[in-house]
Amino acid sequence: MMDLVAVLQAFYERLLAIAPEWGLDATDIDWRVVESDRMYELVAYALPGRLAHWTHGRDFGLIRQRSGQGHGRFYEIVFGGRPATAYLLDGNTLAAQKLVMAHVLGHVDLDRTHMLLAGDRADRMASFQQAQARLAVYQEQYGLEAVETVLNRALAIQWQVSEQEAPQRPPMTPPENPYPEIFSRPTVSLPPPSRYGLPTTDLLGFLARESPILADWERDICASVRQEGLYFHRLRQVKQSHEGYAAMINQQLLLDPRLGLTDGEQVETAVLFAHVASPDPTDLNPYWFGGRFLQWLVQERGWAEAQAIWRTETDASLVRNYLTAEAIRFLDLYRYQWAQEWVDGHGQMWIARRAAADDWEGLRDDLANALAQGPPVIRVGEMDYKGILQLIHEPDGTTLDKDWAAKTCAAITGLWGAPVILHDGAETITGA
Amino acid sequence: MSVGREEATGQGEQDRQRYKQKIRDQITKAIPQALDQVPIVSGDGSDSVVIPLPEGGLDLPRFRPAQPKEPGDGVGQGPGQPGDIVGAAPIDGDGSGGAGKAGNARAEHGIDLTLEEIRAIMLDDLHLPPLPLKRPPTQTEPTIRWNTRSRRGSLNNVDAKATLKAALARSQAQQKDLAFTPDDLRYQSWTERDQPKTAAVVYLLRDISGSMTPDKAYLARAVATYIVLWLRTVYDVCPLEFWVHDTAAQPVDELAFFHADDGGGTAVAPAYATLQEDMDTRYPLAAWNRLFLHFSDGDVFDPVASRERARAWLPSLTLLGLVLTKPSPYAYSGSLRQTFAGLPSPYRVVTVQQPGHVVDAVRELLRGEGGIG
Repeated sequence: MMDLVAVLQAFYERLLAIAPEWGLDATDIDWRVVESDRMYELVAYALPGRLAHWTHGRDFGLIRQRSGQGHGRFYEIVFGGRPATAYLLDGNTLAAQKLVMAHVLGHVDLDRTHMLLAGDRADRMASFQQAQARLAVYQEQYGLEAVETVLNRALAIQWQVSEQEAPQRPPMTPPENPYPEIFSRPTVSLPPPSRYGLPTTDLLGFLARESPILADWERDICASVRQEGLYFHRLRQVKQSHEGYAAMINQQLLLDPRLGLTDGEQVETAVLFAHVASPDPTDLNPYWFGGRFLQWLVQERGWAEAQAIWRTETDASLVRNYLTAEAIRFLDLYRYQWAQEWVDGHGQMWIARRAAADDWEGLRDDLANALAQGPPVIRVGEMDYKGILQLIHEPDGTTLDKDWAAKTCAAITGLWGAPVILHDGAETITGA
Repeated sequence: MSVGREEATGQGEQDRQRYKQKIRDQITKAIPQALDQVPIVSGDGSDSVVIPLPEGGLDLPRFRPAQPKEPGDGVGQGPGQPGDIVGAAPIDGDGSGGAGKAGNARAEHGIDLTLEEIRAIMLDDLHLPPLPLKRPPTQTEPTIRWNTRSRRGSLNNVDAKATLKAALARSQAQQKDLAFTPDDLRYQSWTERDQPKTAAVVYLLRDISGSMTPDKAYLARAVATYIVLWLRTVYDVCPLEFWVHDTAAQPVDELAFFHADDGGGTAVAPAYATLQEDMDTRYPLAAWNRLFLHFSDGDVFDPVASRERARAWLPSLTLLGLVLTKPSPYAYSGSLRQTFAGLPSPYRVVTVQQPGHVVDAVRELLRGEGGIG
């Protein structure tokens, strides 16, 4: 039996040789073959340098349990940047490993070229790992319990972060007036800039920066949690195109005879990919939807223009700007509606049926809205003289679960040191 | 850049342990119900069992949309015609689809624990005192025993049967044809332990004419587990023999021991005779400390014969413990407690009806046995 590492190394070198022809940057990829336990860790933590916390330990245990029972199998996980790190699961067949490696090339390339991701700090993985190391120091110094308390609270609002800058201060000196004789300028009285940079939707960032009760190490933990949150936010916005792009790339690369796949491997990879990328009747399978959508763009507009599109658009904007009636037909997309119906043998049930295919613009808008919908956005409005913080749930067509929101507000109070009031439409929620 | 290998960091396991600590209360509550099908007394301590948590584990609070009253319309993909059915769902009572209480992870959630951990939690739950570790001075020598299986090992030591079992279980769950992956491989493995100079065997006998409720079974197991744990600190080798009897005795495994139910008559003397014979053949008095625990509801149909049989057996036993889990006040034929009254040591009798009784019962049973309580 040949050594797996040597075989994969040889295959990587072949990939490196043909990648430039596809405009792919395949250099600087660190490949790691891992056993299943390490793979479960990576899937549960979703980052090699994730801050240690019991919620990740719980997920690790659950993933291991379910995989042990035969539910799902993880083929790879990739962390972009330079160098990028790609993890391959030991025990997959060689053909599966080759498919996965070609797939990873797509991920790594888009991670380095997409506007939203490439603008990120090149050494972000290193900075996550440094944050993790600092956390270990804090645990040593301030105790596990104290660190966990801060983490529990910060992680509760990990998704309520944004990269929005504090509002610009108005110009301090009025512009010069060239016609003072004709137009006497009234004295400009702009409202004074808010000291706290309010309003902002960067709730966790605001607390880390402005909370009067947090010690420096606690601020640092909050800031690290915020960085993780921002990273996942960006990834979430391009999930369809990321997976779709990687799917398109692995399909095209594996056809290249210079990679030297045997006929058997060709068949096996094709079957495996068809299995992973089968359409989902009530949801979008990113391999299928994203992959076919990008293929359609290439077909309609040529590689260069399509490339410019997938390197700048998010999933939502891609759909809103480029999904035409023709594309919908090509992708076999449809809307479905739920209704209660009587089913013989089962009684009254919810049944989803395909809707008529007449309103393509409605479908496009629905889909774009659904893809744009992330976790609830909470705006920090203002703070009164007692330090009570007014939070507003930005209208997105949903209301918050009151029980959970009250508990989350209690966590925010723990970071802020004073009561908070959350306005959700007409409802008002305070910490439990 | 190149291809290499990487090991697990252990962080996942460490954080999982912390999670287990945090949901300790939930686990404690779930254990009595979950253990029905688990060989808690006799099983290998490193075997793990998934304990379902009805309360759904633990989660951090977060902002999340209220569960919609009805499923949301959406966009799907694939060939078909307008009007085709693409999904179906049952109508829930409140349409909430099992959102769960705030702060709980999810409706279906289990945690895997080793038998070792389960025993520790059980004993802790019943407020049993820590075991004093008093080993009699013995001359020992380390030996290797090939008695466990591992996921790692050398190909020479592949355990074909266990590997086949693992592959079958996985393939079945995945609904695929049987195929082997490296993950399925199981290896014979060993444990190192000292060659014992002293050894003890425990015979457990249960009267199956009385019924065993889950609560009673839990208490009986607690007594058995605790005694076995203690004996294992003293004796290097401590095999367990599970038997049940109505009018005759037969050997069973642990699960059957705590579940078997018959409802017929009860004759103690023939059962004792069978056990004594089995014991004398397999565990001769010269080499073994022999302990005998009898779990019963107290009925006895043959008081005279039983008493004689017990008296004859006693001198060759280290302990004859009678554990009454459901003493019936209306025993129409005779009560074992009365029948055995006045038998000399090492005969002891205890009654266990509620968690508070377990400690005292174990204390009483092991009194004078090298320092408990």
